[in-house]
Amino acid sequence: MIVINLDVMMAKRKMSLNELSDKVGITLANLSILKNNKAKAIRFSTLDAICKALDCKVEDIIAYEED
Amino acid sequence: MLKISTKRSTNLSLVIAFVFLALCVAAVFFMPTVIDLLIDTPDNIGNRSDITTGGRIFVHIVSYFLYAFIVSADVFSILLLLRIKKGLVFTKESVAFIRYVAWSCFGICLAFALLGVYFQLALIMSFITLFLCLCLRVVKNVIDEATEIKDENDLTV
Repeated sequence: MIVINLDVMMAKRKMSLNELSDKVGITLANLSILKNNKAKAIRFSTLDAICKALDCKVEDIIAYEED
Repeated sequence: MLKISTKRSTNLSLVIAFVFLALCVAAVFFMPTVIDLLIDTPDNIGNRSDITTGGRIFVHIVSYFLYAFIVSADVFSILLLLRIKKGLVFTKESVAFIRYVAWSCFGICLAFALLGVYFQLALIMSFITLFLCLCLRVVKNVIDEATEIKDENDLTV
């Protein structure tokens, strides 16, 4: 399964959900869906904005784990 | 051509469904008399003059089953319309209500088929309700698929 490690990167960068939401330009509700692994899909534009805001690579946020 | 808004259309459907339910409730008191009248009235296909007491009881029982399925279809339609009014169209519950209405139609179809033993015209009604059941199943499948697409769209960040 695909897991989102957004909380890990946010902790590393010491960034709050509110701050990231402002920088990325998506709502807190949607960011929360993403952070809690409830999302079914993610747009490239969102991924691009998150990587830019957290100054990280895609693989730092998304990972594959065995079920 | 007369065109009414979606909200008014839903309200109109709700009013019709409630009026129909009220008629059904009122009809339950007259059902035995009406059923006996129908049994004793010859139609164009033939008469039921040779019907036995057992046959009469059979028609009465099947008619009540038919009535129960009609009421259940109406009640589920009302519940579905109330959800539509709230804007909860593409949800699992709405799909379930359409499924229940479809199964109620299938029940009506079976009851009409059984009544076909004594009322040949009921076989035509049975065929029509079977087609209606099929249409509702198709609509249910479409709404089910749309619900999944909406769900996926809502959870795309």
